[in-house]
Amino acid sequence: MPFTKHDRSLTPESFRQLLSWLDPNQDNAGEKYEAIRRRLITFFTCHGSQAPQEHADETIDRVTRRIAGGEQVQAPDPYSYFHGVARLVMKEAWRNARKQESLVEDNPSPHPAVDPRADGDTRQRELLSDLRLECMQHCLASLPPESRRLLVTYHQGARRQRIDNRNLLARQLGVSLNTLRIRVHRLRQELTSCAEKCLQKRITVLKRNQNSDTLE
Amino acid sequence: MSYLLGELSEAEAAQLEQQYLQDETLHQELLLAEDELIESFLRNELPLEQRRRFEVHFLASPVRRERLESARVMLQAIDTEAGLLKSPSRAAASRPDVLMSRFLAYRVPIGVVAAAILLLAVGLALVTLRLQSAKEQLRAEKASWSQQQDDLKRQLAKEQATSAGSTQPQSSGKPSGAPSGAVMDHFASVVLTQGQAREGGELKRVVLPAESQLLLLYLVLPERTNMRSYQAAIKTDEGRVLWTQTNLPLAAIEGKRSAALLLESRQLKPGDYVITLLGTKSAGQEQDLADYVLRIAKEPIGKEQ
Repeated sequence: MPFTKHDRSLTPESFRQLLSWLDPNQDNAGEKYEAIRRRLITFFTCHGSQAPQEHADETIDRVTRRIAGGEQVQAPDPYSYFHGVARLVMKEAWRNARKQESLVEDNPSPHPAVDPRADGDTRQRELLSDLRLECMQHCLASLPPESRRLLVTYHQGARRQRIDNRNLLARQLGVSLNTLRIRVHRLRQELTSCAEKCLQKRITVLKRNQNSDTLE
Repeated sequence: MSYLLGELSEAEAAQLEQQYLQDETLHQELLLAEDELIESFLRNELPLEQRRRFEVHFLASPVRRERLESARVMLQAIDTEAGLLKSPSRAAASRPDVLMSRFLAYRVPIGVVAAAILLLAVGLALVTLRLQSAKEQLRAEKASWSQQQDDLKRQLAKEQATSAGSTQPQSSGKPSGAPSGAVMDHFASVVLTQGQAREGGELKRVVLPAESQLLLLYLVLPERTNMRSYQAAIKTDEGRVLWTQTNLPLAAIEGKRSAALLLESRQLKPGDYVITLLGTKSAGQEQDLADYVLRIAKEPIGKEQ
């Protein structure tokens, strides 16, 4: 399992201790670790964190250090313990953000913000928006036909009609509505990830072309 | 959904969090609910109050703002695809693999195939032309919309600069050229302080000429208010929320920090309104800050009430 940049202060031994604490079976422990990290990211996102992944990693670092330091865990299960530490990390993040705000407040800008680059930003946003749509269309077109049809049918119609469509679709596929929802959720994730990669590539190409234009 | 919109108490939220940290099914359910909430928002299907909470609470996270943008583009692409699927000729035109497989599956006379290909080519050309025209129309609409937005921004910036640069003290709390109770120019601005009428004071009265297009309201922030962002909900005096605006820009008016709320005059029918100002703390918590009341009247230019 790769260490992230936030694991710098951890040693392989402390990490091994964390895994054994999560589950004596190493494979199960690895899965639990990944699951906890995913859910912690959701937790921080739900609390409006500006950096949910960093905060999730910080939470895991702290728990790991405490476990490796021999702390006796009072929580009924590892999840409750993670939750407690996550709440502390979140509160600290709030405090830090408030401090930052006070600093800004102490040194206010003399004029209301009027950004001279605003026009350029608008054009850039439009370009980005066009590229994003092109990428999404490209990725949608490259899905297998049945997945594409599933996504389209799932999202068709106004609210009531959509609910009926989905029920019908689930029956046609012989799955429960929840299974269908999960299937579509994964397809959406796949599509989003494909579109993001495509967008990054296009931006790189665009920048390269702009640079070569400037040089010429 | 209540959790996602920040409607649960701290204890309820904590309980749910402990559960989904432990239970993948529940965690998955939360992510699915998030997808559906975003979709409902994008399709304008959320009731006003939920929509407001969505904008203020749910979108406090930059990750979610990214997700919203991504979902918006995805639904746009899916809707386009749905249009193609509904029209068999378009679908066929865009799917050479389907054509080829059909061609290989059926043994048909070559003349029929040639005629079909010719027909298809003509059809394809027509569809391409139509799509091209629709695309150009969309681009034109987008450009016009963008132009309108830019104009609004420029006017707002100009107004903010004028008000911030004003050195003349205004005892009545009015910015230059925008007296309350007086007829104003095409672009009107009014400074509102917290809860005037409710505390027995004078109700801020704004008379808008028929041709006035924009009304800029400066909501003076309560003292020591320091939030990450500010939002406003405009309500009737019976408390019905008419619409909301998020990410209000700040301006210094008569040395007081104010949130600027730009409205189209046609949105405001004559009557009394209550504007609730909300702030979002850096941690994403939302807080009611103040209520402002005003009465809108519409009169022809030069006629003062």
